Amino acid sequence: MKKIFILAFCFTLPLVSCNKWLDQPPTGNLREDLFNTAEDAQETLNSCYDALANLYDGRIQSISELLSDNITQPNTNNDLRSVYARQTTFFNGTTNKVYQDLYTVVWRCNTLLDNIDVIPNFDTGEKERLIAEARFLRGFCHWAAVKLWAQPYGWTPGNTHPGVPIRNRAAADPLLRSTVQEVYDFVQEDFEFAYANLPETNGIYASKMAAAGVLATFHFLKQEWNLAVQYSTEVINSGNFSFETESLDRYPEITQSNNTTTEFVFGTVSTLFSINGGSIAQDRRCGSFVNNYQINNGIAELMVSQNFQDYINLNPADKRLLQWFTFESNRAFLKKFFTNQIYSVPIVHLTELHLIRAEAIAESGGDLSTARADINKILNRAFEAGTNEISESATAEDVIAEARRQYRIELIGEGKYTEQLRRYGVMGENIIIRDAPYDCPGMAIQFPNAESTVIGFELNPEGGCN
Amino acid sequence: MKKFYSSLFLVGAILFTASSIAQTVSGKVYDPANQTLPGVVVKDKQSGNGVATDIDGNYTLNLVPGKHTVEFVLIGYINQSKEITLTEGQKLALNITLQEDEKMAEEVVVVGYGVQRKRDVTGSITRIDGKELTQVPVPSFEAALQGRGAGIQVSQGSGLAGSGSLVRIRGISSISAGGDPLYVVDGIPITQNPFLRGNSGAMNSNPLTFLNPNDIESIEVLKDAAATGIYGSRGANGVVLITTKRGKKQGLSLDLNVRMGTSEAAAKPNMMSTDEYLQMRQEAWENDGGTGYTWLPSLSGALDSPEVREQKYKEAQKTNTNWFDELTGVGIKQSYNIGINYVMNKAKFYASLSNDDNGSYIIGNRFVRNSARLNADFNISKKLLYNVGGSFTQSVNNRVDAAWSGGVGEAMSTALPYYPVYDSTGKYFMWNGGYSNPIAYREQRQWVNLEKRVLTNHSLTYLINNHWSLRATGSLDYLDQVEMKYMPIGVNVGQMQDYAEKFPTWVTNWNSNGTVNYNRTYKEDHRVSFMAGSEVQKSVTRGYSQVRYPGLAALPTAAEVDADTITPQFGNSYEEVTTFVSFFGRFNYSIDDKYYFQLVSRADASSKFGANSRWGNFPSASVGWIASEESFLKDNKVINFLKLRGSWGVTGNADIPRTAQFETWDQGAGGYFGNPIRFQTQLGNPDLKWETSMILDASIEYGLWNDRIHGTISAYSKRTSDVLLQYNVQTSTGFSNVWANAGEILNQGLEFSIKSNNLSPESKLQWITDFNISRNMNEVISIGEFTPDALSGGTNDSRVQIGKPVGSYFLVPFAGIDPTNGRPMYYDLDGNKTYEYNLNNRQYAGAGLPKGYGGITNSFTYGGWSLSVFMTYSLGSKIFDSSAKRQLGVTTDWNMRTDKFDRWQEPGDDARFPVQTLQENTYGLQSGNPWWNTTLFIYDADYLRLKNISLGYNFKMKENSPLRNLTVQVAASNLFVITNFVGLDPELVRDFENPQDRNLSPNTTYLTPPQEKSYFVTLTANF
Repeated sequence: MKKIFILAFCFTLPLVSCNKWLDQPPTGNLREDLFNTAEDAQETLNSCYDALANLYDGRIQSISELLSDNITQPNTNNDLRSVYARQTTFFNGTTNKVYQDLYTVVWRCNTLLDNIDVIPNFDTGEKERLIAEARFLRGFCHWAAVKLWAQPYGWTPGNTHPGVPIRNRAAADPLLRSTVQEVYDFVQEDFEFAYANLPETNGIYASKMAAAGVLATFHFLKQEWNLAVQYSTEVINSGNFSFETESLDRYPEITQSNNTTTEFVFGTVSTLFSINGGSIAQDRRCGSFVNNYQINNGIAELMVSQNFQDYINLNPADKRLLQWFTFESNRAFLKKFFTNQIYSVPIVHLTELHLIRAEAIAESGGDLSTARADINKILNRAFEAGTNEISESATAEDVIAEARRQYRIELIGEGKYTEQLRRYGVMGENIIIRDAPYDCPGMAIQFPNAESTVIGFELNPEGGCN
Repeated sequence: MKKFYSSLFLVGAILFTASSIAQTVSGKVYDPANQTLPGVVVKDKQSGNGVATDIDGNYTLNLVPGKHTVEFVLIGYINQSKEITLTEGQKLALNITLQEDEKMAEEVVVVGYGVQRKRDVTGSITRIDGKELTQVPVPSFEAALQGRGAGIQVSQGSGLAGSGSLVRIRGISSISAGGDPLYVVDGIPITQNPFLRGNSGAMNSNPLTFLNPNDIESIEVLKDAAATGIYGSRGANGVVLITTKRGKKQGLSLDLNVRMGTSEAAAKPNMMSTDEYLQMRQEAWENDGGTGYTWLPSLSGALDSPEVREQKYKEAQKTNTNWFDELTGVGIKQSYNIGINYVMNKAKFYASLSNDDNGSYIIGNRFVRNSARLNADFNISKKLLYNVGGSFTQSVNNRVDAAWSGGVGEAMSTALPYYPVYDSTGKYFMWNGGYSNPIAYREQRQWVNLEKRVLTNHSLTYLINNHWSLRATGSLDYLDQVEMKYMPIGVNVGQMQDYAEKFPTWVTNWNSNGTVNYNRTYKEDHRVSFMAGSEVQKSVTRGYSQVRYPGLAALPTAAEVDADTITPQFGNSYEEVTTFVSFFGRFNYSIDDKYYFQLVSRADASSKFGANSRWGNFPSASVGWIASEESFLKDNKVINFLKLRGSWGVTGNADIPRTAQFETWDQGAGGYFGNPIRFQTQLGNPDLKWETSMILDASIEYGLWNDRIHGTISAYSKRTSDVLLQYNVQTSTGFSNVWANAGEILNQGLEFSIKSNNLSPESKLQWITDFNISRNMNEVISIGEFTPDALSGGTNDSRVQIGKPVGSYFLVPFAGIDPTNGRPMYYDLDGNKTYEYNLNNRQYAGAGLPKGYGGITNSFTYGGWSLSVFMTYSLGSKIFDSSAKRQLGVTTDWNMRTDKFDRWQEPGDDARFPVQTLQENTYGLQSGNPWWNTTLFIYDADYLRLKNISLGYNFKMKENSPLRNLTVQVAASNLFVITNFVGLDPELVRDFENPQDRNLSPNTTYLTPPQEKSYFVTLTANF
């Protein structure tokens, strides 16, 4: 009998100390494995830029552009057709993915911000820089989301209308929509922190000037003219960038040594790099622009609308007409996006800053000569120099009108015109976009189905734009 | 323990008293193979005195002088009685050979870590004999379970060769975790995950196909907690125990089985011809206000001039391609199987070789399996037994696209009839921006899955004495699966170079267990047995995300790979380890072969859970009472057998990905601006724990008129809590989902089975009917704090809804067609009709799981003739014809079904479908959104299917002929199905995305290929 129990015991003995054997974590794939050094933190930050570049390769810009009257109805893409019709639903895979990717950037930045204290040693100032860059990107993506998924800033008194969820830490807490005011306040705090803590220059990454440039456009949308002027002036005068007086090639093909134009303040870059000194690999971050706009069998997914053609055709001496557009059998293509196959994508650039400064000065009753000079820089590049300048006697209204006109032309396809149309709308102007008011319900893109799985989450009303 | 020793004392005392008597009868008991038999009860009928034979089969029984009837009893053998007369002081020698009782042998049931007599079993177990499995040719053995037992619901995989079936035991109690039963082959829980490679296009490779159905001796399906409890954490969705054949008959015998057959589509889609499509499209164009000829996808555009549109329209009229016919034909099936049985003195062998070539009706689709098996049992000594078994399977699955990935799926969708296969220059005509043409893909691309699989197990049993034994088992299940694709440049526009690539996966699954067994009979009527053991399992899955062979002009051959003549580019490699540890025990006690008690407990720990929630305890208790042994029923003329049993227990489920609990990170080299990146890839949940089910079962087994009618009636209730959910996390996390435990599901059901011998047992014509029906009611009690959209299924058609079954549809209710303008109307949440298709108005629209299902078999034999008619049926489920939303909705670049002719054309029309249009807004849909999820496409999925009809003749053989038996059988499967469903087939298994899709959207058809119909001839010879 005893023998039996000994035997039985021997059978089970090797299994008693098995708890360790049951620990089978995915080795090398835990945060503890991958987030320990200053270098790891830098690489985590790199992943935020990577996600942003996936998004700003033309995807998010096209969604925004389709809400304006610059582009024709998309050729075949059903999801984009829904955006154009301002009839997105929560099953729209394309807009849902754009929304998700914005928050992917936010989440990655938050993982850096939440965990950076576990890293023991940083060189002086490095930790502050990393935090500032992460907060800049976090704020930027929240702002991008609230501009597309909500009605604009200024739409209700106190901006109490619903905005987007504020995800301020890397935790999957169920969130409801914050008000637009709350989102703007959160974004502004991140931007101002970044502005205060970023280095003056930072390679292709976010610098103090990038923050200033973004703050200029941010305050411009908020109709805070003086701040818009202040920040844009700081960038223009920083000496870090220079206005392209001749070239209209906004998207030049990159080389191994040169990724950006001289006007590039902030954006995402494509890269050519050699593998171990040998063959050249491409990191292309403009794919959606090329795919959406290039011609296949005589047609493109996105083409320039008649409304825009009529607008620019008013002056055939405009050099941009030939440089940026091509016309075939009643179809107008936006050539600037597919002349080259690999280029970087500026998100904030000097041309835009000159134009918003001009408009902001005029709006705030400032020195019109600076505003006119800003506009003339643009016009002298677009036309034969001196042939088309704005007159010395131009009033504030004239400056505003010309600044807006040049903004629409210069930034076509960049996904920024829609937010200006909405600003005009909240400023009380009668803005009708393709027969529907600028604030018809469908202008706010519908949230993803999964976003609304939290009880109490308020979806956008659908339709209502014809 | 004390009781144990006192019992021991009692037995000793009896033996002591007996030994004072001087007369004895003694000897040895043998089996037919002349092996001595231990444990045979030798009993004097008059006095009731009895002893058991020892390890060497010896017994000595002390008796008083006079006449005696000595009875020899051992389970599995026919009882023998001997009349003897003993004189004073006589010592009689009496050796006995017991014959095996084939009937009794059949009544032994495999129960997990052991066997039990059928009458001793207190759990709900359905036993299916191997012979039944091979009657119908199936893509994989599990499909043959359909209709064979109550509580086992099977939908057979659609059309494709080797495709897997959907098996549900007593409903579904999981949502995101796998809902399939646990498959155990000869004690090995095998690798069974159909999503090893995620969703790899068309129908995934089915990992169960490796098993040769001809090798299967029996399948036991364990259904309630008393039965599945011994598998503890993995038993909640039932357990399927597969026992392979072993050497049985003395000497050498050989079974030969040859089958030839054909396969064709059981139904064909009624897609429109060119004339029909053009006419319907033209009508839509004109209804929308268009003038002149309509524009045509891939030929012209809406902005084109009327002249261009007319020219293209007339060009289109010249072609009429029936894409489904182009892609399908008659498939050939053949299978050859040899089984060898060899039994000698101390060893038994079973060996088999088989080749199964299973061509489907889709051209280019074929699954070929070659397998070999050897099972051997050795009596090393009288106390030590060694059992070894192993199989090797090699299979080639020649794959084709289907459903969403193309092929016949395209023939039912974007392959318009006016598209030619080849254009005027002889090149493939491509559409969808230059990416689509199923013939081009079939002819140009090579796509195969190669699989090698070894399954082997060894066990040693040591018989310590008549009561105690030890058993140790070790097993290995090794799977080498590689999917290979070769695609030359130029088939589609996006491909810039030839590519040959493969996706290898290796799964190694080790399992070992040890058990201690005890059984003993006290005072004749009290039988006690227990088994205690422990088990460890480790499963390692390795692979590469991709291996590319750049520049190769075909798939690399094995020789090329071995010779290193080509340098592959390796993608990321991965290795996933899962470990599992268990302790378990089973205690059985019976009194008088009448009252039965069983306690089972199992403690499981899995590496899938964190340290705090790792261990789970899964106990069960059950009782049985054979009422027919009681005096009040003993001599009943009608009821010859009546057994009541009941069980309670807890089982679990942890069929989730290995890394589900972890927050994982990853890194990438080339990241951004040439700099490396690292980032989080998954949300974690360290509190994840077991999904548990509390199961109650009450059953009656009955036998009437000497078992001419017999069967089982069962009722059960299964309440599952802490349901594992991979819920859709808010998009503003940047992630899509995360695992959590939340919610409760209730399954309740009734099962009834009956087998009756309809004619007198003496009659030459025999007619046996076997019928079973199951009713399952499923209800989601709670899903925690989530909304239905937190868990998506299928093509956004099904959601988890409180108070409704798992796998229920959630659709916008269709309210008919406005006869004045032909526009579709919908109901809003208040029941008002509206033109607006609003997803917020989605409501419950029926359940995909059947309420009732089962099978009916009628078998007739007359002399050498036999006829079997096997039907299966399913009741009370709904089917969502998800393809119809495009085939019968807004006119787009999809072909339409001819059902669409019944559409509204002018005011006053009462039609099935609304007005023809090219504009989504006409149907209240958002522009750019032709996906029309309405109840218009919900149908009853009730069906009755003639699954198989076969006619056989068994030739009479001469006594001394080496050929003992010869049978020829002609048969047809899937000859017809009776249903109200208007689509292809009410029985379907879709190409699911993941286990959750499999659970939530079981009855959605989306370009799913139809079932196959086959005719075949089978020849069986036994030597």
